[in-house]
Amino acid sequence: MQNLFKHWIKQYFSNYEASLLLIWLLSIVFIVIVGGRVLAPVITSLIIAYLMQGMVNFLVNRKIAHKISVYIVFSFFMAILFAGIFFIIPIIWKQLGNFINSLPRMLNKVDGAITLVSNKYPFLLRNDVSSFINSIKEELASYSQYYIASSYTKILELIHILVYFILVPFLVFFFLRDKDMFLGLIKSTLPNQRRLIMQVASEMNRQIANYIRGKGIEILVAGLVTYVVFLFFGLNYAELLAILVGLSVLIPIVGVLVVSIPVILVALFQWGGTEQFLALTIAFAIIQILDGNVLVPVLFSDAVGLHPVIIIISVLIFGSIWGVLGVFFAIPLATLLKAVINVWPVNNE
Amino acid sequence: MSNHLGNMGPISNYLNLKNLKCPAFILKLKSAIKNLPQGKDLNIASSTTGQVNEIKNFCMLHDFRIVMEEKKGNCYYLLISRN
Repeated sequence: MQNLFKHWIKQYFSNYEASLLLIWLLSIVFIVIVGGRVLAPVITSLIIAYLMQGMVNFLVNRKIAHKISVYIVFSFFMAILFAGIFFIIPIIWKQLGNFINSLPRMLNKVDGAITLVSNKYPFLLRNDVSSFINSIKEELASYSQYYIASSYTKILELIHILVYFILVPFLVFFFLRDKDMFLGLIKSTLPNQRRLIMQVASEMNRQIANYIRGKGIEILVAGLVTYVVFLFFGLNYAELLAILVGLSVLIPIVGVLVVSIPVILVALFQWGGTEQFLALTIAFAIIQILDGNVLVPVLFSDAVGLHPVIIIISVLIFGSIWGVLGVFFAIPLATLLKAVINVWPVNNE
Repeated sequence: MSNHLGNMGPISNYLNLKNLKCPAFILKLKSAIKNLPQGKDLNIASSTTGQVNEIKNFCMLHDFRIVMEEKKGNCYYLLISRN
């Protein structure tokens, strides 16, 4: 057994650079787990700055000075941030409140439908289903109380969010402006024999850039098409549901399954089991089929995707470690693992 | 013995990566390279341009080169060799 373990270690970790890469990765994971909460604004700013860097590069390649490019891109970021805070978030917040408040009524309707079915088919266990729905209603009541409380009384949380909104733009600006200095600083802390680390970084950059570009377009297309379809049918909470559908593409397979529940519930509550409900359900299914079979292959044709089982496992693992954020970053994190496997030396190299 | 690319080596150095997703795709490619005898080339069959891009990138990372690239119908065939 001991020999087997020794052989395994020798096979995969005999390379000095591979061991350095492993230590480097473990250090980053340790920092994120231990200091993740405190460093959250810094990590958020780093991700936003990374996303904006592509635009800066685009302007610099068109012979615009780096400093001016940074100012233009930062102004664009601030415009989107203000539009989000003052126009989009209030609409979504209001719709979210109305939606959460109307959920118990929706569930009453579902409960009524189950009663009808169970009267017709008494062998079905109606009591169990009813108690399950009642427990969901109780949960929802507590959530709606939290929603009301957080919007009026939790001032501390509000201050925390405000600090976040002030701190993040500052950090994004400096990360964009002084990118070279920060990169130099990070490089200076790396060991001299860092070929493998640089290869992983370059692999990640290549794959993440492809992922972000593709996902950005997919969110916009899926969200907008869904919004137009929902508006066409006159579905309630169209903006909120369209944003949820747009964001659901960030979590492949699981996302669409989860987001289908509120869409179908709202439609069912609004129209009952009518033709309009059926039409919307079919339209929604067509959007999802087109997204999976037309849009995704076109957007992500440059690289081999992850196997659906790996995606679900990543969502479960990273979701359990970092909660909602872990779920959203499950694919980029799985991509990091893929990049490490890709560059890890073959033992006879 | 000849393979789909003509007389380019024994059929045992043939790797079918068609329709494989990650990480099986990368692991199978790495295993094939690890077991590839010195001086032998590896014939790879793949099904998408994404796979071809990944193989090219993989070759770059692991000191291999693409000797030949061919498309037949919906399949791509590559011949890679150690530098």
